[in-house]
Formats: sequence, C-alpha cells, structure tokens
Amino acid sequence: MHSDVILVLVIGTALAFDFTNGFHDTANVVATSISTRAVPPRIAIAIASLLNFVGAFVSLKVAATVAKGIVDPKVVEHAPAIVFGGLIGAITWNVITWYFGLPSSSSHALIGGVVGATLAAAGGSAVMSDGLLGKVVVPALVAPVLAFVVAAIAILVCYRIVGRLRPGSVTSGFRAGQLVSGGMLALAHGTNDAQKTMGVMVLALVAHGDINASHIHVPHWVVITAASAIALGTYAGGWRIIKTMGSRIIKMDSAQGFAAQGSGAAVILAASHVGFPLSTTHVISGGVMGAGAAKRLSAVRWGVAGNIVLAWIVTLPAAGAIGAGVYGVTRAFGVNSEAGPLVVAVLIVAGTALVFARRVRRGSPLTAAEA
Amino acid sequence: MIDLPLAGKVVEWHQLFQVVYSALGAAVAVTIAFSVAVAGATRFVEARRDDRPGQAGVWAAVAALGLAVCGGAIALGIIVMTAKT
Repeated sequence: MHSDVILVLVIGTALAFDFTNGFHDTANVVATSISTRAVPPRIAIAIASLLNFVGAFVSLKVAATVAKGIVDPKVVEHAPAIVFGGLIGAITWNVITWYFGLPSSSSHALIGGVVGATLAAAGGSAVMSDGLLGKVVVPALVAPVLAFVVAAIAILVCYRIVGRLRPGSVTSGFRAGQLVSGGMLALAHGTNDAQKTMGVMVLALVAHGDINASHIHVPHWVVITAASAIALGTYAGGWRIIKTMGSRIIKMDSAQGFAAQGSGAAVILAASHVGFPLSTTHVISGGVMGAGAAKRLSAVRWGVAGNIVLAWIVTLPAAGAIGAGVYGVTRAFGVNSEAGPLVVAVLIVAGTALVFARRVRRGSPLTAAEA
Repeated sequence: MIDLPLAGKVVEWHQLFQVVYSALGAAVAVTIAFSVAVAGATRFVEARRDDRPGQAGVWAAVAALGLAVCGGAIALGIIVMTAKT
C-alpha cells in the first residue's frame, strides 16, 4: 500500500499545472480572433474554453506517449516521488520564466521535469532516449518551423485568390472563417496539452500501484478532470486577456489570422494524431510569424523568435535539473515518506506566492531593465 | 544519399512526414477552399448588385462549393482524429 497523501498531492499538482497551462495559453488561442475583431473577447474566451474541454476527449495518443514513451513506467512504479519531482520541476521552471517574462514551453518543462527526476532516481537506463529524441525533441524543433511555412504558403495562396477583391467583403468573410479556425485551434490546444497532464496522472497512478506498468491505460476520470482543469484555466485566463487587450496583441488582417490559426490547428492536430507532445505555444507563434512574414518580413518579431529558440535549448535541461533536485530533497526524507513531498509542496506554494507578489509589484526584471 | 542509421532508428520519420504532409495539405487546402468561397460570395454580391442574375448564380455556386469543401475537410479531420487505430 503506497501513500495516498502523495498520490493526492501529485494528482492535485498535475491538475493545478493543467489549470495554469490553460490560464497561460488563453492568449495564444484567442488573441488572433480578438485582434482582427472576428469575435468579441467574451465569446472567444467562452468558445475556447468549451473547445479546450472537448479537445481533451479527441485522442489519447499524446497521453500514451507521456505515460509510457519517455520514461520507463516500471521504474516509476512504487516511486511516486519521481512524478512529484517532475511536476514540481516543471512548475518551478514555469514560475521562474514567467517572472523574467521568457516564453517558456509548459510542455517541455513538464517532460524535462519528469526526465530529470527519473534520471536522479534510476539513472540513464530508465529514460527512453529514443522516445525522448524521436517523439519530443525532433518534433519540438520541426513543428514551429512547419507552422511558419504552412501559414506563409496559406496566406500567399489566399492573397493570390482574394487580393484584387473589395477589402471590406474579404475582411468580413475571413472574420466569419476565423470563428471556425479559432475553434479548431482551441480544440487542437485542448487535445495536445490536456493529454500531457493525463499522461503524468497515469504515471502517478502507476507509481501508486493503481495501474499495472505493463498494461497502461487512461481512466475516464483522468480524462474528465484534466479536460475540466484546462477548460477552467482557459476561461479564467481570458479575463486577464480582456484587460491587456490592445497593448500586447499582434495586429494582423483577418485573412492572416485565418491562415495562422488554421496552420497552427493543422500542425497540432496532425502531431496529436501520431502522439507527439508539442509546445502549442511555439506552434501558434510559428503560425502567426509565418502569416506575418509572408506579407512583410519586418512584421516578424525576430526578438520573440530568438527567445523561442533560447527556450527550446534551455527548458528541457533546466526543468530536468530542478526535477532531479526536488526528487533528491524528497528522497532525503526517506523512500516514499510523505514528509518530503509535503515540505516541498508548502515551499513551492510559498515561493510561488512570493514571486507572484514581487512580479505584480515590480513587473518583470527584464522588462524593467529594457526600460 | 546520406545514410543516417542512428537518426533513422531514433526519429520516426514516417510519423514525422505524416505530420508534415497532412498539416501542409489540410491547412493549404482549407485556405484555398475558403478563399474561393470568400471570392465567390464577393463576386455574387457584385453580380447581384449589377443585375447579372446568371453570373450571380455561378458565383453563389462557387461560394457554396468552397464552403462545402471546407466543411468536408474539417469533418474528415475530426473523423480521422477520433477513429481508433
């Protein structure tokens, strides 16, 4: 019998991570529709929230990849502290990058954290390096570039067809189209991102002994709770977007918005279908940049692109190092001791509150330095 | 031809190419179809305003066809995604 307290902590942390993922990513999903005035903000957020929920039910292949394709589930069995360490590694890295205003990928942080904690617990043989490289690292590099290229081709073709028509009716037409493309993007986001949390929750259940490592499956309650957490996060995050409207959102025409959203959705859905856990943030950014660059190269925010490349390089090892450190701390309290995870949980909540208060009071240190 | 035995073994090229061609095909096809629908609808309005009912009918059909292709492509995508393999 393994500790129920640790399981509850891990599942609670995973759902909190899922909620923050939805909260953080609302901007990516709805910004394009709102900035082109295709949909009023409140409706865009409500649709995005609903379709994130629905998207979580579309496929389970990404969850399977996270649960059994990156670390050996047999190693995680009877060791919930590994999963806990991984989650805390991801959350801590997300909080650090949020504080500094860097565009970190929650997905890469989650996978990096779990890999780091597994490395610390069982060594390199427990990490399925083929799965990590073939299903995470290479697709992470390819997907944003693919979204960029697809969006650029799509908008060029689109301008070729409608370029000589009256702009007013073309704008109205593509605004209507954005109702669908924006919806597909929200659906795709829910599909890929909610499944990563499901995969980690399944690993926690394997660690607790509720699921046999040789017969991995995703229970219905895991799907429903993960879908609900990301949908609630999306809805909650939306109100923040309404407040910051007009200052941080990229300006583009409705045809570009349609191309960017459609390309992002197509890449994320195609990747989800084969079980690749992507950074949806990077894919959507790639689509937006591609649609912008095809019209005018200077429209691309190359600084943002540089930060994304930096995030690719740094996030996996950084979250991994934190995950490994957290596993070491919890292990110091004893194997499967409840004290370690409880102490770390209290520290992380206190630390996050401190960082949040500091950031709200002073803003991002990087932004302040630039000013 | 470059031989990449390690990369060939580790990277699932078949799945990666599947993502590339399906994303490219789906996004570009839907964008073309929707652009044709928007163009058809715009021309339909102009033809009707200029009292050219024959042309208006043709453009309405073009718009409807574009929308039908879009709807069909999205429905097909969702069916493929949700199908158990």
